[in-house]
Amino acid sequence: MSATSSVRPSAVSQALARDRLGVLSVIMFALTAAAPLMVVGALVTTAWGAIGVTGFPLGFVLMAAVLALFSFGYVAMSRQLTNAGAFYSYIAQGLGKPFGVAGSFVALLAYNMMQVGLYGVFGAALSDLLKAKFDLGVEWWVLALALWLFVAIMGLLRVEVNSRVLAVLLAAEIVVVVVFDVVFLANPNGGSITVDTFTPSSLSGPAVGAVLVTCITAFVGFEAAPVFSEEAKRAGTTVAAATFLGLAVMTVLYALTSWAASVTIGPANLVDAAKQQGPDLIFNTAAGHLNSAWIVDVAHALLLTSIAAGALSYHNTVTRYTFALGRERVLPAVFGRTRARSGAPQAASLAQSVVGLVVIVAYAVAGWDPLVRLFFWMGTTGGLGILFLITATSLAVVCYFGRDRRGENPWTWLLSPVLALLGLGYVIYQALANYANLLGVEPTSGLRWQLPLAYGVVAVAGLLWALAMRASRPHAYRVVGLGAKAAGVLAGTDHGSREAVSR
Amino acid sequence: MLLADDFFLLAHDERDARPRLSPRAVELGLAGAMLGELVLERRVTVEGALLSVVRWDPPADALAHTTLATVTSEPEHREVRTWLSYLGRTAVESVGQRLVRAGVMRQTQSRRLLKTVNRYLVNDLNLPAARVLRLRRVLTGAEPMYVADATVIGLAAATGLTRHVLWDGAPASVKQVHAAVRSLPPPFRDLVATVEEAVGDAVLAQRL
Repeated sequence: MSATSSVRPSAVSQALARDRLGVLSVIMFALTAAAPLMVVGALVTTAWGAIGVTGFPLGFVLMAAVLALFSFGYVAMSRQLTNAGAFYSYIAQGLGKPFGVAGSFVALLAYNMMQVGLYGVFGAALSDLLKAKFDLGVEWWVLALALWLFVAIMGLLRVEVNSRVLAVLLAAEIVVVVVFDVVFLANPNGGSITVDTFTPSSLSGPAVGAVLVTCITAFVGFEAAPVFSEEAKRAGTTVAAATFLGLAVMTVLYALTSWAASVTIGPANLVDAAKQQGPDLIFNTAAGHLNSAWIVDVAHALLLTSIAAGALSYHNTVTRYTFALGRERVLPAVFGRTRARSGAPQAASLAQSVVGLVVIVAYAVAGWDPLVRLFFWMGTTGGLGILFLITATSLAVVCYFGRDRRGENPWTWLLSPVLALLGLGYVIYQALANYANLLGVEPTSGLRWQLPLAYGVVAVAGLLWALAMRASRPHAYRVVGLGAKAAGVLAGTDHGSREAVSR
Repeated sequence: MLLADDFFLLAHDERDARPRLSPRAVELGLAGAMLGELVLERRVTVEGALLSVVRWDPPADALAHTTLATVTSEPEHREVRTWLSYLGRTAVESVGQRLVRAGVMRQTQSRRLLKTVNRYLVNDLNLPAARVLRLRRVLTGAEPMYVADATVIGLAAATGLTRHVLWDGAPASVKQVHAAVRSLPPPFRDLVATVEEAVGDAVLAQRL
C-alpha cells in the first residue's frame, strides 16, 4: 500500500459522511422523547402529591448514576448489533430468543402505557389552562382526542416535523426551565437556601422505590440514541456521546429544577401545595415571583408542545417496535409493511392509534381522573416496564460479551453492567414491595399487584409465543431480534438464515 | 428496457410525475436497480451483503459505464449497503436524465415552496401502464419471466410498491411475488434482500 493511496480521500466516504447525523441531532431525538418541561412541570409535581415524598432531586441523581452505569455496556453492545435501538434485540442476542420475544411484548406494553399517559396530562393541563385563561369549560378528553388525532395523522403521513422546529422548541423549553430555576433560587422560602431535598433522609422510608420509578420514567428516551447507529457520523463515538450527554442534560435539568422548586416553596409545604395545584404548581409559583406574566404563558404553551412532541415520539417508538416485529414475523406480517407514499409503517401506526383511542374513550366513559389515573399511573407503570427491560438488557450485555469479549474491557462488559444490575434490582425490589405507595392508593388496593403483574402476564405470553414459533415456524424463529435485517419478502428462503448465522 | 428505467417508471406517478414512495425508498430502489444492471451485464456480482467486480470492460450503457467506473475506483468499499446509499444520492437525476436522453421522458420543473424540483414526465402515458400490465402477465405465467423481470418485481416489493404492481393485495398474488423473488439467482436475490433491509432500516431510523 503506497502512501498516496492511503491519503487519497474516498469520494464515497466523504459524500456519505455529509448525510450522516451528528451528536446534536441524535441528542435532540432523545430529549424530545424525554420532554423536559413535561417532566419538571407535570410529572414531578404530580408525583409530589401522589407519593407524598420530596426527595426527587436526590432520586434523579441516583437514577442517572445507575443509568450511566448501564449505558457503558448498552452502547458497547449497540456497536455489535444490527437491530440497534430496541431492547428486545439485545435481550434476544444475550439471553436467548424466547426472552427476546418476552422482552418485546413487555416493551410494547410499556411504551404504549407511556404514550397514552401523555394524552391524560395534555387534556388535563390544557383544560385547566382554558378554564383559567378564557373561562372555557372543555372536557379533558375532548382535548386529549384532539392530540390523539394529531398524533394519528402525523404518524400515518409521517409528515416530517421539521427538526429545526423541534430544536427551537426544545431550546425554548430549556431556557424557560433555567429561568424558573434562577427565579426560584433567588426567592428561597424562609429566606435561606436549603439542600433538604438532596439529603438521604428526604428519600427514606417505603417511598424510595416510588420516587426512583418516577425518576426513571422521566429519563425514558435516553435509550434512543442507538437507533441511529447506522446513520451516525462516527458509529463508535456519536451514539456514546449522545447517550451520555443526553443523560447529563436531563439529570441537571431535572435535579436542579425539582430542587429549586423545593427551595422556593419550602420542603415542608411541597406535598400539600402539589396536591392542591397539581401541574400548575411550578407555573403558579413562577408567576408569583415574576411580575410579568408572559413568560408563564410561554411556559404553559411550551408544556403543551412538549407533551405533544413526546406523544408523537412515543407513538413512533411503539410503531418502530411493531414494524420490526412484523418484519421478523413475531407479529403478523402486515405490521412490517409501509404505506407507499409516506413510507410510514401503516398498520403498526394504526394499531397504536387504536390503543390510544380505546384508552381515552374508556377513561372518559368511566370518568376517571386523567392526571393521576391516566398520566401518572400509566406513565410510571410504563416506566416500571422500561426498568424491567433495562435490567434484562444489563444481564444480556454480560451474557453476550461473556461468550465473546469482542475487544471490550472488563469495566464495559462486566463491572458496569453488574453494578447497574445491583442498583436496578434494588429499585425493582423497592418499587414492587411498595407499589401502592407509588400509585398513592390504599396499601391493600389490588392495583398494587395487578399493574406490575400485567408485565408478568405478557412476558410469559411472549415466552410461550416464542416456543410456539420455534416449533411451527423455525425460519421466522431464526431471525428474531434482527429487525429490518429479517428479510420480509424472502422470509422462508436461505437469505434470512445467512444473516442469522453471520451475525 | 433497462432495469433502473423500469423501476423509475414504476416508482413515479405517470400523470403528475410525483414519486409513489418516500424519497429514500425511491433512491434505494433505483440504486439497487443500477447495481442490478451491472449484475445482469456480468460486471459485478453480489454475495450476501458484499459485492465484487468480476469484469472491467465497460458496459454499453453510459450510466452503467459510469457506475462501474465508480465502483471499481473505490475498492475499499464492498458493502452493498454503502453503494446503495451512495448511488441513491444521485439516482433520481441520473436515471431520469437517461430516460430523457432515450426520449422516454421529458424534464419539467415544479416550484414547491422555496425550491424548484426536477420532475420527469413520461412522453407516452400508456408506457407505464403497459409495463405494469406486463409484470402482471409475467407473474401469472402468461408471459415468460426473465431475471430482469423478477428483479424489478423483487425491488418493487422491497421498497413497498407491491400494491401498485399487483393492483390488489390478495394472498395468492403476494405468493406469486414471493415465488418470483425466490426463483432469482442468488446474486439478484441477495441484492433485493439488501435493498429491503436498507428500506427497513430507514423506516426504523425514521429517515425516509
